[in-house]
Amino acid sequence: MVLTPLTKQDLKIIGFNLSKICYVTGFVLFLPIIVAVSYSELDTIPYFLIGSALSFILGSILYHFLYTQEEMELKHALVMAALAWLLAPLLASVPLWLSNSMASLLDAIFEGISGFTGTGLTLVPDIDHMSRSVNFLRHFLQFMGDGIGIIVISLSILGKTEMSSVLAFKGEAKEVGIRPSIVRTSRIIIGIGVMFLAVGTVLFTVAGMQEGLSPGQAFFDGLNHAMTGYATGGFTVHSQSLLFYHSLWIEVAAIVTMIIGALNFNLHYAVLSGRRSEILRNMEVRILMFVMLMFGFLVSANLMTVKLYPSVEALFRKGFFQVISAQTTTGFQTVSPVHLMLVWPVFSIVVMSAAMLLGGSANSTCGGIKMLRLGVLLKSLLNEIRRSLLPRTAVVGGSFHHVEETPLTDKIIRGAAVISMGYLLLFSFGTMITVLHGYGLEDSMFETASALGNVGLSSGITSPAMPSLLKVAYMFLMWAGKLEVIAVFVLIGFILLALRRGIK
Amino acid sequence: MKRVAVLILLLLLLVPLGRAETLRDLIDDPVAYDGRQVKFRGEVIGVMVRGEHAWVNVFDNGLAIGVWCQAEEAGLISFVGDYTHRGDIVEVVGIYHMACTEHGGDTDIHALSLQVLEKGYQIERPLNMTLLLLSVAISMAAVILSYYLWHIRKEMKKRVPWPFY
Amino acid sequence: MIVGLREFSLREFLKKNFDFLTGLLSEIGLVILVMLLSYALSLLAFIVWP
Repeated sequence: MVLTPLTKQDLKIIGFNLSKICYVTGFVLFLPIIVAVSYSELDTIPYFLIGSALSFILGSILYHFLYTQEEMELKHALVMAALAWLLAPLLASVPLWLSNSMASLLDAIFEGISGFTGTGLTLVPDIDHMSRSVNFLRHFLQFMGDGIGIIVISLSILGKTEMSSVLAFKGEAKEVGIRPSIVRTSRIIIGIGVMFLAVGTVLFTVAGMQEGLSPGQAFFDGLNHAMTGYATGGFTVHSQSLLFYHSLWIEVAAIVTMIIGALNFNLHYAVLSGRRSEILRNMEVRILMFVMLMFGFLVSANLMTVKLYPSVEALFRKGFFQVISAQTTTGFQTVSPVHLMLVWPVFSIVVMSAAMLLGGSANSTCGGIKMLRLGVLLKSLLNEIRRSLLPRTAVVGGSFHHVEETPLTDKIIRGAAVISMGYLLLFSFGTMITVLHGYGLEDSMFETASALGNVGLSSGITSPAMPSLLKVAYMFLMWAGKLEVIAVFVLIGFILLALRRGIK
Repeated sequence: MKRVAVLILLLLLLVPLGRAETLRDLIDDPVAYDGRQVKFRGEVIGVMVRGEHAWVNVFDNGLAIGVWCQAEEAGLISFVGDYTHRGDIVEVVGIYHMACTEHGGDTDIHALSLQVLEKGYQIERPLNMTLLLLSVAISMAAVILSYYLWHIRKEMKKRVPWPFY
Repeated sequence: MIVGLREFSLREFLKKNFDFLTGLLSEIGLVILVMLLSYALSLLAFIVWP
């Protein structure tokens, strides 16, 4: 196989499509102005205006000078996605930095990446005294970047690289180009996303008012938490995360939004269009629920043996809540980070790291290796065992149920194995870097899994005071983890190819 | 190392109860303070009344904790801290729980008394004029540039048949 | 808007969106099931390791 060298046209196509990402970012950065006006925080308006205007300027320059009518191919789309999740956070960091709510520009970029990738690790020194508009922007970034953007990318681009028929959008006609497919899928995704956002907001608002918040604050907090809950992002309005509310009902509302956000989008589409039995027959849902409950039980039992929590309710609200938050890669926390580091037993920390690394469903807002791949790999392991026990002539097939009966082909298994290995490689890389900075092994594993799986639970390592090198490493992990590793490797391959062969 | 740890523990035990802790002490060393009477000061950032009691979230130096107190005591609080307000400064004397039995394992303080030391006030957030002018200028530039480039593109489309462009 | 509201019929709305609404309910049902199971498991953990 001879790789064809890159042409200028390739770069043009990528740049031209990036211009649209700039436009969307400009729109996202403009919207908090509405919040600023309605809470009369007029002094924050210039930050958003500058950020938004810069995005539009960059967008129109790219649009004009790289204008092309040629269709995007898969390789362009992959590189475009990888670059978009760097460019958009850079633009979003402008208002965050200008608003003086971050300690440095690097922190603002970290926050931007954490927002757009739906991670939820935060470097804001004082969230409680942050202006509502800037705070809204952080949450809105997660909703747009992860709740909508990433699903569009994974359904219409990433899905086409690997186990094509499994990951790609099921409600879509076959053999359409990448751009029309993006437009079509994003319409449905936005519709369903906004609907779940409304449901979540109502749940949180009712729970908040019930627990003694004023209606205005209950709505504001509820809207923000519904956005980050559905996006399985994990930013919260207060520095104590959900511990601020001391409320079972808010936590229940959070669990509802988190689990709904962690379901495969193809499953949402099938269930909402009338195939209700799918929700119990789907292989991925079964595995997700089984793994989540098993990890939750292990952690609860472990917490119980060290006698940390005194009641059943406490085990549910501390043990299970943290595990659900980790498994769905959300990162809402009801235990302070220092407790995770100092008081929780090591076994629980390791189990939660595993949960974060495995993550939720594919094609959802989750990060991590994802349950579909885990299921495929487990099934192929079973098949291998069967094959070695049966006579050589026997044919071992097998299939799994994911929206439709899907045969377990070598192509699917290979895709799952390659991506899982990519995640594990990055995980060991991240753990080593963190350990090098003098943190304990289990805390390093926890924090690395949290960044790589786009979770956002913190054991206290992530703070404005952490070393800059570590911040950069975590930024890379969050970015690579969200783009399912493969897009990042394609980008690196693209750059290497350009360096070796030049651009024709 | 062990001797040092024992020494620190002894020192912690010998700390007189009247001494005010900072919130960082309580959060950073939960095991040592669990179940003990503590006293600390901080800014109010949230009040939630639940029947006869109330949760008051108290903030100090980047950290915050929930304080479970009488609703009347919470009623005396006049300002809750946020972007445009400086919250009341309160002094809390209470029992610190690392994992509270009554409240589902939350880390909290059950107040014996909660006193408002200093009333809060409104914070003026004036518009930064230079930044405002700059932002207006950049927005104007963005509008003009995008209109201009869009216009040129339209003209170009008219002139050049697209397969060659 | 108001005219639209006057013509609004709940029966029609439910009939039209039957699949969608029941789908939503079954998803919420799944979540409630998970929560009940996890509560039961924490109870189990609490009983087994007293």
